[in-house]
Amino acid sequence: MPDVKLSVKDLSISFKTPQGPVRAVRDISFDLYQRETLAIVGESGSGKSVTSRSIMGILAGNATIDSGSIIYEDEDLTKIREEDFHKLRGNKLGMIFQDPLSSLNPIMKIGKQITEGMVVNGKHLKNKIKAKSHPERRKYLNLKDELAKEKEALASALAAIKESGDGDASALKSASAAKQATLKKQVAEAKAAYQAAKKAAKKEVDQEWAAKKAEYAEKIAAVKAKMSSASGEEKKGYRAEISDLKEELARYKQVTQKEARERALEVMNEVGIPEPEKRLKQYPFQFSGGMRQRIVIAIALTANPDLLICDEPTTALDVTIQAQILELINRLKEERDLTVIFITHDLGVVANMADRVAVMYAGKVVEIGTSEEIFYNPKHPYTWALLSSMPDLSSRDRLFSIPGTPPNMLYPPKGDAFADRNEYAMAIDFEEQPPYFKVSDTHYAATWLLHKDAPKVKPPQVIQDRIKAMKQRSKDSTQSEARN
Amino acid sequence: MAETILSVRNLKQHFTTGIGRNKLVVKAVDDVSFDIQKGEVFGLVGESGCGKTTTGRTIIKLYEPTDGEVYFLGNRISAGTVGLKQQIKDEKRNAAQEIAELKQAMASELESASESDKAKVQATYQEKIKAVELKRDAVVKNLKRDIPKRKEDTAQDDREILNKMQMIFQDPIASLNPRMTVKEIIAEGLRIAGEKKEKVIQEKVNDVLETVGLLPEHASRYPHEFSGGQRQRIGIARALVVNPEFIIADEPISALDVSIQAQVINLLNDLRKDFGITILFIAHDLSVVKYFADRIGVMYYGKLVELADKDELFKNPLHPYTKSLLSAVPLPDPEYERGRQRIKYDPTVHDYSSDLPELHEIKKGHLIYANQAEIAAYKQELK
Repeated sequence: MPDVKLSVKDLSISFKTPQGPVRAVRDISFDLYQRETLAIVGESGSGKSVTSRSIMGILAGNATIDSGSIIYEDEDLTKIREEDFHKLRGNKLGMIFQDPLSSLNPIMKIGKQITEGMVVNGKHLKNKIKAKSHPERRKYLNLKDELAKEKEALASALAAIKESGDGDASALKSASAAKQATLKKQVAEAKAAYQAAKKAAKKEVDQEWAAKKAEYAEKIAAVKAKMSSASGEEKKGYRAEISDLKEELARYKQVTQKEARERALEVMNEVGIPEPEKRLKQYPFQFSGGMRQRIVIAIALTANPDLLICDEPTTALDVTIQAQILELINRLKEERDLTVIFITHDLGVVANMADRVAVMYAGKVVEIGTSEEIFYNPKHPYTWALLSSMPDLSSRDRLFSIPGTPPNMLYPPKGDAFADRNEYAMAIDFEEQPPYFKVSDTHYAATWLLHKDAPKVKPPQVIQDRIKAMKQRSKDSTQSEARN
Repeated sequence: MAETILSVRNLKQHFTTGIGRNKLVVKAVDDVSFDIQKGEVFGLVGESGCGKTTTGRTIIKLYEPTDGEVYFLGNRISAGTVGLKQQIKDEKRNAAQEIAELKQAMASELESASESDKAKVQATYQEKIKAVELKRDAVVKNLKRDIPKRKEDTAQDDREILNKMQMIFQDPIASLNPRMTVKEIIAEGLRIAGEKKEKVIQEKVNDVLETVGLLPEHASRYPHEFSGGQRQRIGIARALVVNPEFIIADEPISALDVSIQAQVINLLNDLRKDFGITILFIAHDLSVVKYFADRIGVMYYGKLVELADKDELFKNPLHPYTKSLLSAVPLPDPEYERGRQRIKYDPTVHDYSSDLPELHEIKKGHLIYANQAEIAAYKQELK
């Protein structure tokens, strides 16, 4: 079993609206393994984008994470603070959005947009200080949170007492006050410790910086001494040497404009943008759709992420450009050992990209498995419906279209969310949510049809035919290969 | 042979920007010709920016064509004049050249001729020059007479005919006015067509709503109250209300979700069967075009590079661009996807420097844009 890179457990997310909470994601769990591509498919509104945005920590303001956890490198992404997210987002997690035109700033040159993140995140000395004092800071902030929670708990308890009229308010108050006092003391201690750690770290880093500076000052002085005796052409060379040394020193402190530009040219070459030097000075409107998407990918890559989230990166593009972008993402994945979450509603693209597929419906993962299992042995009626609603090159019959609309997530259904639109629905589907039934070690589906007492239902004829055709095709190709 | 409903002849649509040194001519559609038979679905595919949408928009007279003609139900509904003007210029230039040559010949002959013959020679040459001039004037007059005719045809606004042609747009959110109710949106076309009785309008709107699978009570709502698929249905209803014979569907499903795409395709399929509507289906999703269209035209940078029956096109793609397009279609089959080899199209493989390409019928119903040398190669491939 490969290593788990990211683990989502019982995650629930809802959006506050004037009508009440909209439950966009309901208790989903999945693991993401190292160096795999996990595709998340589903209709719009099934919660696939919300899930990925919660991993990036860029949910809309009215979204709340009700429960669950997202574990990434031993940290729970649902609990960490915005400032800590900056570090992750800048360096570990990259995201590519659906519409390249609206995710680029129209009045900013491409070069600036690519280098912006590097320069902002590239204050090496400051980052060092932060990293050194991180555990103390963590402790201090956690304690602070605890104190705030305690106060809130007291307030709500008091409100409850006031409303119902019974219960001892004063006793509660004094108990809480004691608790708060100890917490306050702890917070003060932690704060002092944090500040001390910060100071020490700063001193250490400052010393390091001063040493570096002195070292380079010496080097520069040496060159200058040589320069004074040199003449003409030689002087020019020495001048260049000095400026190089200065640049080197600056790079120790932060990512300089020059360095960022070099790096930008590098990634632009990597994503296949011709004439990057000329292109750096252009604006987004001067690029075609495919090129714009490449720029967005380049921006994500400057940070050297190891987890890349692609939110429908090819939906706005046409087939040929789509094929190019998919090839590019696959190539980058190989070269950089990326782990990819790929969100789409195009099953053809899924078959091209994915190692594993999660099918989402109404905020739940209804089926998850390797892409072979999902395409050759689908078990959930919703997966069947999705597969049969898409024409392939040989389909001639009337297309299957899923009747009705997805449920309103203001009022999530009691039973299986798909029951209303499902021709195979049984009475229990309307009553109780199906648990995950295991099909194989890697393949799980949440449908009552897999229960041992359920009637044996075969997938619709279209899908059976298609699977047969696919198996035939792969048999043919292996035979022809064998012949060759 | 079925009746031809729409016929596009040498259609050109050029857009110019800038003046003088900065003048830039974008040949969005460049010499495209095809016929659409009654009752068929004609698919037009190609990558974005290849001119497929411009073709559709020019046909429905949203643009005035630069050159070429569009015939709909036997009437010329729009025609460009730039080509004619060019022809006149060419004719004049050719005639001038011919005259100059004649004059030179006369001069050399006059030198060698004896005094007595001079008058005779002069007379014969004068006659010849006169003949050339007369011919030129006749041709130019003829061509010039056509210019106002074309302009008139393009400018005329015959509702009777034009109402038979309707369009469905790509983005159902952008193409519906958010301040109008569904009824107003659908009835707008009827009112422009001259319908004044409120009762008739209401009845027709309700009918057409039912046809596209919506309910009459939806008529009083606004577009934002509907889902994506329903909005596209409203767009279809708006096109249907004036009883068209021909619909231009410009990427009607690319902005929609998978399950809704199936609904809209099924609806269009029903309309075609029930009402015998002819459809020009513009799309870039080849698996949908293959499923829905009867004949497919492939466009590349303003040119129609291949046109064939859909099965023929998928079985025998000849033009390298068609091959590359077909190889880029992703299929829901992981095994196949892993082995799929994408063919890249390199437009420089064609050598059109001396041997100019044309649209040839290489096999019955299979047209391809190629020059003589390539035709020979393609024929080899077909066998």
